[in-house]
Amino acid sequence: MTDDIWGETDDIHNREWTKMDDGFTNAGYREGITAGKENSLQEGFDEGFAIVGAPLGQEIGKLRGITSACLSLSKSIQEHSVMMDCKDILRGLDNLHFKDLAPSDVEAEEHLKEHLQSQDDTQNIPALLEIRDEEKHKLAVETLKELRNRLQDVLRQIGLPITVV
Amino acid sequence: MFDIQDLVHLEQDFFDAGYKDGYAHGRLHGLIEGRALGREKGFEIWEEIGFYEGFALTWRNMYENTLSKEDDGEKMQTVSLSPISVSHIRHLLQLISQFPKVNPTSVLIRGGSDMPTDSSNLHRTPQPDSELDVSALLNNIRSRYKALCASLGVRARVVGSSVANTDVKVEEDASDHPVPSRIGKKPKRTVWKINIGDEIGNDTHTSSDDIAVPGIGGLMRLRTN
Repeated sequence: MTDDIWGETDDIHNREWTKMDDGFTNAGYREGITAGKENSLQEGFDEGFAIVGAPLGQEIGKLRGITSACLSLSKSIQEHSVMMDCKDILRGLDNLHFKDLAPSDVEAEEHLKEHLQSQDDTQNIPALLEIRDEEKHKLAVETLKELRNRLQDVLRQIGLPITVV
Repeated sequence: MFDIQDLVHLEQDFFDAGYKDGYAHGRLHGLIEGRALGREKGFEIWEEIGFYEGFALTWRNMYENTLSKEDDGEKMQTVSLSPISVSHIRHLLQLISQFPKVNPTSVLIRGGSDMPTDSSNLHRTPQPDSELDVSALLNNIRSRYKALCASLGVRARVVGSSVANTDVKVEEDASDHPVPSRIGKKPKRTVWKINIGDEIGNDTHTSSDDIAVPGIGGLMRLRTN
């Protein structure tokens, strides 16, 4: 008799306990996740800006600026083949996309995989973040290298001592 | 004896445990999302600045080449720059050398520890001076570039006019113009500093009611950009 009564009470205790645990833990989790995100967003931004965005942007921009100036010069000195080359290089640079050029964010991709495995947000996950297309990345890096070489040729032809390779 | 205080404390313990886990998870998401935003913005701004830099450097080289080859009878002699152009080039490069490669506008001071108990511990101390400077500097650089183009007789297109998306390609004729065509978006001043309320606050608050474990809500915004 007594055993049964205690057993039942234990069950209730456990259920209540678990309910309370879940309820408060989840509430804490929700508040924590918001606070954590707010607190680190700027830090991430500054990191991405300084380590990846700015240097890569400067690199590409500079190539375009140099090519642009070469194009103007080639027009004024009537160098048609150089002119066509410059236009071609500019077009090539236009077709390069930052997404393909940038190094992948390893931490982001790993975390995305964790989400995919735990399946807690499966509907949303594919839209949240793409894992970079390695093929596209390789191609973009390859193309950039090629464009650099071509620009170097142009600079040599015009006789400018600028090094871009 | 049963003490009601214990129970209250217990609730707090559960909450704190959840908060700690959530904070770590949220921090990871903030870093990931922030990095993605910062990469794009850094690229966008510096592609424009880099363009001016390469443009000015090349013209300076042509000018120096012309000076050094004056008697060689080579084709470089046909490029003679006016003193005004030379001065514009010098000023432009000087301005560009001042342009920051790290985000200068935001300094985060966390409330004593890496895990504050609430978000009010987060104080951002923008440095108004440097923020103003960057914005003014960018405008100066753009004006100087345009002035240089005018003095060279080369057409410069207005930055920030048509292209709204960094991925949008301009029509092929545009390659004739010395313009950073993919940098259409005029950088907003606020861009340097993330406004947390606008960027993620709304997202997370709306979703937190029905999802115990919020997803990578913010990252979705990147896709829509």
